[in-house]
Amino acid sequence: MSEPTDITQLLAQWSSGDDKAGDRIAPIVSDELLAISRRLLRSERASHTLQPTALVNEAFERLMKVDVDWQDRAHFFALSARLMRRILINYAEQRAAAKRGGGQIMVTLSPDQEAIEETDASLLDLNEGIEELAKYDERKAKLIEMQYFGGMAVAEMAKVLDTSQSTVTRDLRFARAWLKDYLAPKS
Amino acid sequence: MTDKDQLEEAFAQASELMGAQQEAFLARFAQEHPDLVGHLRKLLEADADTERTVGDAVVSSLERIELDELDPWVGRTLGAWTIIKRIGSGGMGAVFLAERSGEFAQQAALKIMSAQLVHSDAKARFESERQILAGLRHPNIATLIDGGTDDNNLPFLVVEYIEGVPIDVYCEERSLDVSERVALMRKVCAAVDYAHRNLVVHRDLKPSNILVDEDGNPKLLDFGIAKLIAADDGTPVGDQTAPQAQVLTPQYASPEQVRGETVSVASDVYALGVLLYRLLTNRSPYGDTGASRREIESRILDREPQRPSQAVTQPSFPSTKAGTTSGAPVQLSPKLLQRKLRGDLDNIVLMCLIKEPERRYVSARALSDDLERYLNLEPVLARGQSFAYQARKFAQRNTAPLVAAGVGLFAVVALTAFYTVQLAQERDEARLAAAQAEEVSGFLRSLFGAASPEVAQGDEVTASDLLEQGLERIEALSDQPALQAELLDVIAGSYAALGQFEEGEKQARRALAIRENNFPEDKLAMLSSIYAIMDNQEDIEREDMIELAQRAVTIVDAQPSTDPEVAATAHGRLGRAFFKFKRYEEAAVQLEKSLALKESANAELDELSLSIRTDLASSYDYLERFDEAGPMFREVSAKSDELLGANHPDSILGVAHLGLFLARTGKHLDAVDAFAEAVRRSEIVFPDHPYLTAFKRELGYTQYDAGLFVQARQTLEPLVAQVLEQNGEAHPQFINLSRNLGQVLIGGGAFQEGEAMLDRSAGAAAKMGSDFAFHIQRANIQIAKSQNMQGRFAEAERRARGAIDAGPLGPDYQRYAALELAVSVSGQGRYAEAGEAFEALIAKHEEEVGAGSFLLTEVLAQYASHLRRSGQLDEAVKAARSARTIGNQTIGAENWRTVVATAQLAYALNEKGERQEATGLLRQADTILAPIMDANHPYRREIAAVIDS
Repeated sequence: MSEPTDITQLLAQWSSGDDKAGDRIAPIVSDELLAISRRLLRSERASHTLQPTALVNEAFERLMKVDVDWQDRAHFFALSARLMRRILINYAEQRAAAKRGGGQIMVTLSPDQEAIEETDASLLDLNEGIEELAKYDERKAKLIEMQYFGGMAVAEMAKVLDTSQSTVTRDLRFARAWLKDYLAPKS
Repeated sequence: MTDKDQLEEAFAQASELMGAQQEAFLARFAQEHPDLVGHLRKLLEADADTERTVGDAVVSSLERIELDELDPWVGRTLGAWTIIKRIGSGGMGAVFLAERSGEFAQQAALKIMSAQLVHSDAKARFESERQILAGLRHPNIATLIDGGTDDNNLPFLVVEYIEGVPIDVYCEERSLDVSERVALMRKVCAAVDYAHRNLVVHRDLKPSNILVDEDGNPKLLDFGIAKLIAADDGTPVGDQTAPQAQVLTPQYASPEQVRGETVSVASDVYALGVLLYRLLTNRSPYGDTGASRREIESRILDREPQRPSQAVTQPSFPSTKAGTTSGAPVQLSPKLLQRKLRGDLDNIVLMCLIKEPERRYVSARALSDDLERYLNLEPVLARGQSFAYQARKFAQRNTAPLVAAGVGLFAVVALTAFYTVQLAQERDEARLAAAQAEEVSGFLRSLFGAASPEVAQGDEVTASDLLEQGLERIEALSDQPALQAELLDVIAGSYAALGQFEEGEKQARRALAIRENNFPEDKLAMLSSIYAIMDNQEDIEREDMIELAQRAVTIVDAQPSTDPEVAATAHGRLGRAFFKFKRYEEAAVQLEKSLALKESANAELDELSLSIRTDLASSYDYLERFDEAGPMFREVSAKSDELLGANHPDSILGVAHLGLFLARTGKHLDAVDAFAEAVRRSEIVFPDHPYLTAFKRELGYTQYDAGLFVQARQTLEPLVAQVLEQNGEAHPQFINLSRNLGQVLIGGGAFQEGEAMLDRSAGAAAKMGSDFAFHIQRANIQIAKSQNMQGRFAEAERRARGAIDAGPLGPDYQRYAALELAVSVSGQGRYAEAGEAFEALIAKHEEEVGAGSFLLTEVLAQYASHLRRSGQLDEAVKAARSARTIGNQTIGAENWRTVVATAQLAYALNEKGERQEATGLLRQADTILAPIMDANHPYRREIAAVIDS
């Protein structure tokens, strides 16, 4: 078997169900996402916003061939969203584990510590919420993931899920409300 | 409709309604779906609540990513390296600070080529690139330390970590003046020139790739990396016409790079020119104002750069304090700076920036030399337009097309052409001619000096082709005999480097004849031809090598005013010639003289000094002057690491030399360390080189000698498998290595496996005919040893006798065979015969290897065993004590051979009734043997039996 020669091909294989291709592509994309986010953070410190959209777009430009079709582009974003979610959750979990005394990652004690923990907690809650939502409706969970972790536009999400843009808009609104309700402090 | 659908539908409708309308909707819905309305109400509340958001946590988590502990690479281990933190990320991948712990602890920069990894051939290309980089050892080039692939087959490089700032920033921060900047550039040129001599073109020289450390030493990064990147689109690395889109830094790109044409030494010279321009003027030759890439590229192709001296009088961007030129050499007004740059520096810079590659400086070295002339206030070679004019004129006159066919050919042709013209015009100026001749040879040497066949193969023309071209040109110089001879010497040296000794010697002898006929008085000039002849005799040991060297010595000795280093070289050459012919005494005398001369001129331990010392230490070694050889080997090895870098082939050979010496003097554990180090470094530098196999073999041998049987097996087993795969059984490598593996197995007590391996070795030798029959004898001697250890004395005697009778054996194996024979005879109770055999054997050892040799440890221990068996207990104690003393003094008390002697002493004492002392000694012995020998090993069983008795 000859080796795939580029990410586009790997992606195609992966979206058609070849898990091995997914395994190979994931670390590449993950690393790229991290590298870009770090650079964006440095350069856009002043504005203090880091939109996943910018991130994923740049990763796409770096990693994919320019003539890749629209369908593949949307799939790439969907993949990036999933990876982004996985990366962030992993770190939050590892930090939590380290705090309990295990884990491989050293926690640097800093004045930011509290803020970090707070963020981690809400991120992990969000993740749990998305998992619950997936049990209720997997498509909606995927929409949330694509929007918040991948910064994807409605048109792109519609492409990935093979549905209309109005359906995506409607479902997203419901999913958001569902999540906010789920995450609301229970009284 | 399911409940789920009902809920969603209701939500979609209700969320569009406001206030009372929504309440009315909810009231209706509550009647139809009382169980769903509660959830719907909460969903609508959540939808309306703008305080609560979903994405905030994601965004703030993203912001945490900049913390290093979030980096997925941090903490990962690649090979021996652990990633500490990310230093940078760029188009080609990521760079990390990494750390290696353990004995050779150090920090380094680890690079991962992320964009590369999906190419299926990335690894192969990475490997070849890594070998090229590994060959670059220069104080001003960041050294390649290690490389490999991680678990996911992702290739990485580990490079010396440089703490420094980009060269332009450095010049600005330190406010260097013009001369200091020029001096700094010369160091950069030296490093670039060194790389060119190793046939590596940088391709992406720019300030961010040249860092200057605290002490003002520039270090070049990313050598050859640009070439890796150039193949990003899948074109093979060898294809140097990759599209220009890969030129990473248009500001420093040469016209040929912009056009996507052949990249050569001249392209780096161009980039050095741009760099020099920037350091002197703080401007780009093509303007800094936000021009697009396209615009810059078109300027590079078409616009003649402004002279640096003019450029500094104009406002720079961004414009700064009036009256000064930001970043440019300070404390000078533009006017003064203009005066400094006008003339020579203008010409030097512009000569680098000429659009046609063949008209620039022929090498970074030539640029550096011109800069030196500028610093010394001597006239520079760069002549601006007049030079260009001459070169163009020649090119027009010569209608033969000058075809660019590779890195060097074009330059060789153009260069020789240029000097042909130049010399014809300035025939009278003999001194200038000499200077130029030197430059010619410097350049040619630079092209070929380090050319090894593997490297040359990668180019479109082979080095041999280039040399032939060069020879043709040289024929045309018959009216310039001095230059002709000089060039022939260089060509001869290049042939030597390529291993084409016959052709090389021929050209060198021609050069010598030309010198003798035309300049019989200029003896010193003949040295270079003499050495060139000798360099081509390296492999064939021609009879007159010593004569030639003696002639060189006569020449330098006849002129007391000779530069001592020149004289030292001549004596060193003679010493080396003697050494080659195994005349070690004479070699040592000459080398001592050479060293004294060298040190009288310059006591520093430099490359010349190291090479003399290596030869001298080897001579001492062969003369058994170990006390002198040992420290010298160590000194050479340590200094070579420091001077040339630990991975320089000479440094690695230095370590191996030291290892051989240590092994020969019985310092087996130290020798194991040395060879392990040589193996480790070789795996980085030349993974496919025969050296590596040789070092591994030596490592296995010394591990065996040190009693590290398990490790020796681990070293030798894969090696045997490897040579088997490469060459099959019928090959001396397999025969030797399988025999050694057999010895190791037997040493550790795996007798059956060991004997099978020895049989296999003998069988392979048998297939190869009578020339290899001695290998059968050697294998049989080792089998006899194994049988003796198991008490199979009659079989052992037959084997040993068979081996001895089969034909002549070398002195070593004669002794080994005689020992096994004596042991087997004694074992069968023929004590008188055995006693005589032992006495003869001990005398033989004293005569052949000296009374203090560690080899006697084993012989005397066996002798003690024989004496004890035959009832001569006092004699046995005496022999065992001698064995033990020699062992303690040479291989150390913990070596297994010494321990075996100790055990023999204990057995004899035990039989004499001195039981307490005996068991004490035996317990000690067993503690040492336990980790290296199985409990079933006969040695350990015997010890246990005596302790328990």
